Amino acid sequence: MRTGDIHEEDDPVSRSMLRWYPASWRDRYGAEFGAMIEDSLGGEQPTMHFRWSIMRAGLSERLRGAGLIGDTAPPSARIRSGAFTVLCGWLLFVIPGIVFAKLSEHWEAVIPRSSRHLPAVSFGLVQVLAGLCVVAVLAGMATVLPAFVRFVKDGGWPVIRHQVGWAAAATAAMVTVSVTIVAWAHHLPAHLRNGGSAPYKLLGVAWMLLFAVTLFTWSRAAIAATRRLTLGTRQLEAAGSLAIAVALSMPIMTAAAAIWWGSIAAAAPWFFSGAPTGSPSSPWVASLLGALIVMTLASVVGGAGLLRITGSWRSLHAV
Amino acid sequence: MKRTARDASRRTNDPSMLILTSLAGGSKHGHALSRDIEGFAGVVLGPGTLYGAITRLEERGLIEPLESDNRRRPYQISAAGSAYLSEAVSEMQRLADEGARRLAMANQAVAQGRVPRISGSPA
Repeated sequence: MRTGDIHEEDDPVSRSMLRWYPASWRDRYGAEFGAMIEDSLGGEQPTMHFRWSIMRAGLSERLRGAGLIGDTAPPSARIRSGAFTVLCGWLLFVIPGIVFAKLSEHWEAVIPRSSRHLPAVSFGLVQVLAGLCVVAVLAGMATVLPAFVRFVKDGGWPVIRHQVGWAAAATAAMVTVSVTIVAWAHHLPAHLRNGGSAPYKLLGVAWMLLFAVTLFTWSRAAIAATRRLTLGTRQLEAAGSLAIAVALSMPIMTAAAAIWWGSIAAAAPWFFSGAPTGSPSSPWVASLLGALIVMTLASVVGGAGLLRITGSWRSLHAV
Repeated sequence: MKRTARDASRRTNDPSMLILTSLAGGSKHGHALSRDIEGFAGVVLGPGTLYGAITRLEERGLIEPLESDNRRRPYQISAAGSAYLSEAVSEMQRLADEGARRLAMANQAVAQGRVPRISGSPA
């Protein structure tokens, strides 16, 4: 029997409910928990409340196992999971960030010079912080790289091979679509490139989805590898500090993007619809609103990671 | 460590405290624990909540699993668990004694007419 396999003697109801729990937990408690479920139900079908209670407990056990909640995991595991939560928040932030970058292209050209100060400051802030976050994420990766190399040398590759394979496949697909888009764009006139061609637009959406899948698969591979790495206190401190910087930057960038939108909407609403300068236009753009909502969600995820790191920081030195 | 009254009052419904109290009366497996707790505390702990608390208690060394020849594994309270329960019970006892003492004083003051009876309180 493989690690985490459901016991054959469990009935189908217990088996289905046990799947909510992580494999390591099932190994230890699966059989007795299955028996308890059977005893509690007494042959009757579980109610929705019963199922929900077990689902919630199982997911909670998964989060606890990953060091994302609870205080039973060591401080190093809590800081590591906090840093990963921030990284996940950042990866979620990147996609609306690209949407924002695309929608804000050439804004300086249409806004009156007298109204340029506020949008320039807020837009500049987004650009500077985004650049710093990219540097911080790369520095964080460099921090754990030696431990990763040791992990692979010590025979860890089979553990992450599956996840890395999926991530590489997603990357290959994204690169193929990127090359296709660039090649196609060179043969399209400007008006077709900017929303006039439905197939080109569709390819753009496909690229965005592939980009999201690529980010997701690489994050999954990184999480699978990093949770098994042995990191020293200094490496954890470095990774934790970089994660804190990224987590703090995300809400600032979100606010700056919202200020940029508001200031452009007040001074040059025609920018968003592409209408001639001075013509009456609505400043409401669904994609920009969606981008800001996702940015806010990503900031909340980053904030959760930040709290996890700062809450465990002192304990790291106490052990 | 100084604990607040809120901590003490929370403990009465805390699944971990209920499990430790149940196991103080003898070893039991999951379903027997659940029935016993329902009997003495009137609290129904679902399997998820019960086993979440069992997991934490075992991690903290407050309970110990016993050998079993079937899937229903019994647990017993450990020495550390007994000490923890004893401390918690003493703390709750102090809170209960203090509450009872103050209520008695308040009732005495009402009976002597020194303070008016609170509307809705028993005569």
